Amino acid sequence: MTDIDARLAQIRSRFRQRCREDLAAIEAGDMPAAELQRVAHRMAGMAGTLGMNALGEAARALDAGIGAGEPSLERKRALIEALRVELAE
Amino acid sequence: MIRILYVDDEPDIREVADIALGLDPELDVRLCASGGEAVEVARDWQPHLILLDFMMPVMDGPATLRALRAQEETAVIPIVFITARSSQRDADHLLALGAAGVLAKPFDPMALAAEARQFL
Repeated sequence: MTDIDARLAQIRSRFRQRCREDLAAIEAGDMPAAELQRVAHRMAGMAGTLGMNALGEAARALDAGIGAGEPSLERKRALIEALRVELAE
Repeated sequence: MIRILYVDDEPDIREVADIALGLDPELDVRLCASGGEAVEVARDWQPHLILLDFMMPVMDGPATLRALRAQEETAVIPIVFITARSSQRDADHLLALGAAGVLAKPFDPMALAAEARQFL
């Protein structure tokens, strides 16, 4: 493993741990919309950059939906599902 | 060496960007965690290019751009937004603010250096 691979693996591991924490917070259900959007926005950028494309797309959709003032329940459910799938791998 | 300042409040994104830009041996990269820090570092370090996140707390990307433009030492440094909001409409808005360009986030770590070089 190169130095770059090792650094990326470390970043990916940290990100997955943070996703676990975010999933627990989202599932708790009392996160304000602005905070949910902030979490989704951060997750979208990082997941896509690390090649977790399905998770990145679900997060991006929720971020955009909240930003547009649209109902977010379905997109929130989709993000929770994408997180579960990603974290199960 | 070509000096590039990368500004993003997310530490993991900064680290990936550092790795990605570091793949190009001609790029000298510095990282900033906030718009306020970027304004100071850019004034003293005089980067050839600034890559700027859009959504940051306290001073967001557009506010940082305005502060950099208002400061004589950094007024003409090209600024490229890196943002998840990279639709044509969003990009047009950022270009109208004075950005040199817009790169989509998420970015491909293997391609970021080449994409940044387009704006030099």
